[in-house]
Amino acid sequence: MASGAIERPMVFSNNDRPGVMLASALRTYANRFAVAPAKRAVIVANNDTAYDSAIDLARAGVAVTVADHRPAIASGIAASAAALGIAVFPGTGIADVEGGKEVSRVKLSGTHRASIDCDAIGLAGGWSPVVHLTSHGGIKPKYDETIAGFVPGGFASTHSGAGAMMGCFGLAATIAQGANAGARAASTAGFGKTRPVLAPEHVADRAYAILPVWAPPQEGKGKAFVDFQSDVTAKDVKIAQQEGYQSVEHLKRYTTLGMGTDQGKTSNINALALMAMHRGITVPEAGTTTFRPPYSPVTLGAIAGRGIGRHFRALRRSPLHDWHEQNGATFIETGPWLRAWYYAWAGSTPETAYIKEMEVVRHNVGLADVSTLGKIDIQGPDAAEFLNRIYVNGFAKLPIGKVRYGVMLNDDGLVLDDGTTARISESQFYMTTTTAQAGEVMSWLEYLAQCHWTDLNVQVASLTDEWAGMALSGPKAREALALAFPDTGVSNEALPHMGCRDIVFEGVAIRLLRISFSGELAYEVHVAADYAIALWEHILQRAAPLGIKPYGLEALASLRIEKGHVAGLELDHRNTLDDLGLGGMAGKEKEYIGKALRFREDCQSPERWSLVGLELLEPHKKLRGGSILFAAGDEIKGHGRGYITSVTWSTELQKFIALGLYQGGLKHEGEEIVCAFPLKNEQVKAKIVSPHFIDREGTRLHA
Amino acid sequence: MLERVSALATAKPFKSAVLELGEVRGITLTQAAGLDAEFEAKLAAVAGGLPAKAGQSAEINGRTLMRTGPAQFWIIAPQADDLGGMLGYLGAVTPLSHSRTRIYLEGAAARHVLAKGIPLDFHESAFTPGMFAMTGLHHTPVLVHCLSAQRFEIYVPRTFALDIWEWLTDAALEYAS
Repeated sequence: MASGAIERPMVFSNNDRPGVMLASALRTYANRFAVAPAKRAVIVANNDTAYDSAIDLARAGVAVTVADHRPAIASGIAASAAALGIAVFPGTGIADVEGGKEVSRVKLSGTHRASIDCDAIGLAGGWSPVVHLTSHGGIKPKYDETIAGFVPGGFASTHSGAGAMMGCFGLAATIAQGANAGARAASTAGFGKTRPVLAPEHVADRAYAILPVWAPPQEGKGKAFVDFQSDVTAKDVKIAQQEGYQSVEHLKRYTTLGMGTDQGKTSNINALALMAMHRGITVPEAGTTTFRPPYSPVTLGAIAGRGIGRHFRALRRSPLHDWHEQNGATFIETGPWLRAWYYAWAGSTPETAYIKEMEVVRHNVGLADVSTLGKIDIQGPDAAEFLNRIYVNGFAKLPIGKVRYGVMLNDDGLVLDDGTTARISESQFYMTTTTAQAGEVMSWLEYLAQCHWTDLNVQVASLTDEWAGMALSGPKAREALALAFPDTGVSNEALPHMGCRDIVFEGVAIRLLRISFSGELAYEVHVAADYAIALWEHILQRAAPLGIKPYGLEALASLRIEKGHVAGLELDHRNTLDDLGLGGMAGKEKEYIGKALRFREDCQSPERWSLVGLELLEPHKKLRGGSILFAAGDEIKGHGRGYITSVTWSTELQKFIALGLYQGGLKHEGEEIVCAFPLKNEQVKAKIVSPHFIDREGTRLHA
Repeated sequence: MLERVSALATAKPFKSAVLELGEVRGITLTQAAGLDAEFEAKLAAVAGGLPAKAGQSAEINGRTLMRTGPAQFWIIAPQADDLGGMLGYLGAVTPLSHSRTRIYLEGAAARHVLAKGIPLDFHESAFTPGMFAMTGLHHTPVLVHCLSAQRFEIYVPRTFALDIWEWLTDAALEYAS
């Protein structure tokens, strides 16, 4: 390794003015870019390498003054400088800098308290070896007094270093060290004999002869910057020490020292030394922070690929996605999912299309993709007991081949999620969750099984990706099912409401669940995901004589509003069972998660915001989701008495209806209230009604 | 006859001199899990052995076995595998063949592309043939399996598969020609 060294700045008043830079930077302008960076430059130095820059600048025609902190300067260097007309002031530093938009003058400190006009200042505070590579490898750097800097604390077995990174700042010494390191590397790589290499001709080494100078001269009154990137001054370091942030790690975090894009390459050593000085300890006792990769700033995109545009976040597609795409679906994002919103057969805008799709389901039969529902396999001798503890209602005695609607609470006693669970065998259940909470419920079940109830022999596995689901809904759903699966008995007796059957069709396992989200006679057909498109097409084709049509998410969500089923919008983790009108489901005797806290005083308050239905009283106006609800006569101001969670046009009632949460809930049934939508400055009148807008007796479900 | 359709049916192919992406179709993936004390012994008797430790797959009787959790295994086999039937009720046996899309990356650039998205050490000395890891790629939980120095397979949840494919082929653009 020969990673070199980086020159250090010096700390003094107003050292951040434009035109102040490292002496090596001035030298780079002159030598690499052939640009004279200044007419008159002052170089402030504490070591001999400063004269490398001073001499090169003088040769480029710059008038150079060197303010050298050291009281004495080697005669050879002094003579070289003098020959080029460089003015050298020993025992001198910079007290202050004048000039706002550019440097105009410096005031010297120490022996020669003169002011000198200049337009650039070079900082030659010595060199910090680049110890990053060994530091990244876990080897702590060690402090070398002779160079007043950190060098590698060692090397991995097959590595060695040479040159400035080792604290060796002379050309001859570097060449010799490089030859040695190269020979060692060759030998390590298996090349036994090495031949001596002829060193190139070069001038004799000058010394380094550094006199460490850390503190800014007393005379300056301006800010003396230590870290130019993070604006950390010498005073900040002093304050950190006074406040007790004395360890280098605390200093870094208190001041943001070394947190810029250069990660302290130029600033750290000065700050450490200042802190050591304030604490009355040595630099190695103060220690150093750890360098971590990368060495140079690298964008995360360069390392990790792109997280922009299409790839900003992951997108989930249903197993039926390709069919939807090829058959006129318009998609909508719901969480990570891209779902079929509505289909072209029903219209070209969502406002019109979902109404036609709803009508197909209410009067005929429709098919919807419900693959996004969470699906969980629960198995084990204790699976029934497991479910019985999770759901508020009983599952211990659910018969095989039956499905039950269930609600679960979190341990605060608030509603977590709902869904259905079917009993497949004595020891196996098939749970569905809402789309929105699928991941959360899965994690919750795993957590309970693995951490809380290790006495239960139960295993859970996510089947959300394994199974596709499609809802076949409408008064003609049974006819459609019979056409699709002619060898399966699907009569009301063979597959009653809340029944479940596993069948095999053309060699493929299919699960039929007679459950309904829409409120109509309905079935869910679940199948392993790769078969989803073929089965979907099969059902549509066989049931075509009935006029079956696909329906999308907008219709799916609207149908359930008419039926009064709560969904993600109502299940927002803030509501109790009673708020949602589900309190009667909870087992009185059995234990379940959330039972104790469900009965907290606040959770039982009769004034809680709870579920109501709303009917719009003003034809030709609209109800809007998110509207704030006020009692008639209330001032329309603030958070009101509740809000609308879900809204739809009801094809059955031919008016806008909504579900919402309202203070006191159905106690106010029949009252006229105001729904305010401040974003559009709208206020409309609505009536509080039962949230079950259609078929309260469930005749359609049991048909 | 119901035809199977891959989650990657519409995916744009990717093949260059240093990298090829593709899907391994026609597999049986079975998850077996159990809590009773004899579960592992009984599973070993049926399968012909078990992997000794987590993170390292075992090839036994034409199947690949992986420990994926406490007392939980993935068993991957060719499409026609009767293992599920043979297991009977050992513990919880869950067919997951459709739940994961098995994407392979093969070629000299495979490790570089994986390293862009997966926070694991993909150096040849660190991630060696037979090793697998359950990790994340582009916000998606995946299992990545090293088959040989230049071949890897990622088991991606099916509903994320096309998105991961698109992410991978985007990440691999620099190796496209």
